Amino acid sequence: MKINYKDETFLARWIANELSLKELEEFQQSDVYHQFKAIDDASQLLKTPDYNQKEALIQIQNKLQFKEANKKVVKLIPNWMYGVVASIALLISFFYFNYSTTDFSTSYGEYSTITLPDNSTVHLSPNSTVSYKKYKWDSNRGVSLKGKAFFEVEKGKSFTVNTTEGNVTVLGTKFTVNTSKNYFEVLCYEGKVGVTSKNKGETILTLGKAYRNYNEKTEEWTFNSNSPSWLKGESSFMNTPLYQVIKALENQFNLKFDSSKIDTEKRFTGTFTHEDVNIALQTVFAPMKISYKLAKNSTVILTYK
Amino acid sequence: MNKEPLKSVCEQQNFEEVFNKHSQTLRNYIYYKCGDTQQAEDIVQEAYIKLWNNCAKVIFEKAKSFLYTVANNHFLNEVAHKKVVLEYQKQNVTNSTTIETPQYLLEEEEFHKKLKKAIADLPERQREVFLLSRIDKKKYSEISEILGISVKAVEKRMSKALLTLKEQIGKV
Repeated sequence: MKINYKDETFLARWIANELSLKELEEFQQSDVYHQFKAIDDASQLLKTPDYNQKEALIQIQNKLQFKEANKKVVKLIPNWMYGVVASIALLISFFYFNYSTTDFSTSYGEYSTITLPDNSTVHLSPNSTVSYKKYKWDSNRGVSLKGKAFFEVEKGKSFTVNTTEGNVTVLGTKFTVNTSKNYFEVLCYEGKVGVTSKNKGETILTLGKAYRNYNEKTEEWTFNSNSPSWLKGESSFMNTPLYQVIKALENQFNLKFDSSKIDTEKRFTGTFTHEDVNIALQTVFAPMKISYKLAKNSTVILTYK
Repeated sequence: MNKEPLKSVCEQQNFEEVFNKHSQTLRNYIYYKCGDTQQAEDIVQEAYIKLWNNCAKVIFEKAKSFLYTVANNHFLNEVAHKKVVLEYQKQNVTNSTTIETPQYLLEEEEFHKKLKKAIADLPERQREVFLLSRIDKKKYSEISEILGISVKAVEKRMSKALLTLKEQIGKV
């Protein structure tokens, strides 16, 4: 009988003993069977060159001890990244002179700083995207944001940040915009910003004032800071709904949480470090009396003790 | 507070556990790709050192995928590609009712030689799947995790490998 070669997984399943009895018997009667069987038998005897696992571990440990002595502080944003970002901006403006949109994105745990054509800067938080059109930038300064970023805007014509949850307009100042579904938060670090949530009127924020539109309800509060703490290796929250804090943990450490058993609307005020995931989890969940456990699929399950 | 804290890779005994569990297969996997034991062992070493340096940022359960990602990246940067040279384990005395004639043993040795050559000539993608299955005894589901492809893709590569080997050995 001819082997059904249209079944591209037949041989793999045969050698793993996953064929039905009927399929197996048919195959055994074919004239090619003995060739495959010979390969099966012989290949089971194969081995790789010897690997001295104990010795390898000792070598690693020796290297690490050496490294301990020379350990130095690693910069949060390595210098070369500025060079890469600047180079990307340069290349793109060289070749894409007209209407095309420029985007920059970060992934989990990643931070990035982008310089706009007028020297305004955008500091992106993990898992966020910013896009803008370079064409005639000076007279039309507008960027689109998904996620969270801290902006330092040069004085000039009106500068607008557009998000799905609302817009922020300024003339020249420093502020953070943080968005996700039905959540819009703006903190003003310098100057004055005009915030318009979708379906709401405009609110003006000055230095040290913050605004939040969450599930259609708005809040305003005052905070005290020169620049965002997350640029310095930790994330702070002021009376923030817990689900936003969980989202920030997910973006920073590439985790997935199952929070179906807890109240994620509870407010959290505090800070977590970016340097150590275990300490970060303790700091957030211990005060809220929440326990966390790893499930089989690497999701972290949150429950009350 | 929390009864079961997550295991930290920064603790020496946990780091060693990760080493003992995964270093052999990881080294074999890289060896199947490049055919150079020294290179493979260097890459494994670098991967574990990188894991240690980032131990606070990687949760224990993700250490395996971290190691494979780092090792793969290091491998792509290396240039040398030597031939994969495998050996046969010394056969213990089997069910000794069959008496093996010298003729039989010679043919068997010939076959083994042909098989080794055919394996070394396999395309890298097929070879790594084939050997992870035959030597490291990994199930197709584990191989799919290691390589980051679907189980079906693993089975297809395995089947192709078997077919190629049969054709190669069958040639005179």
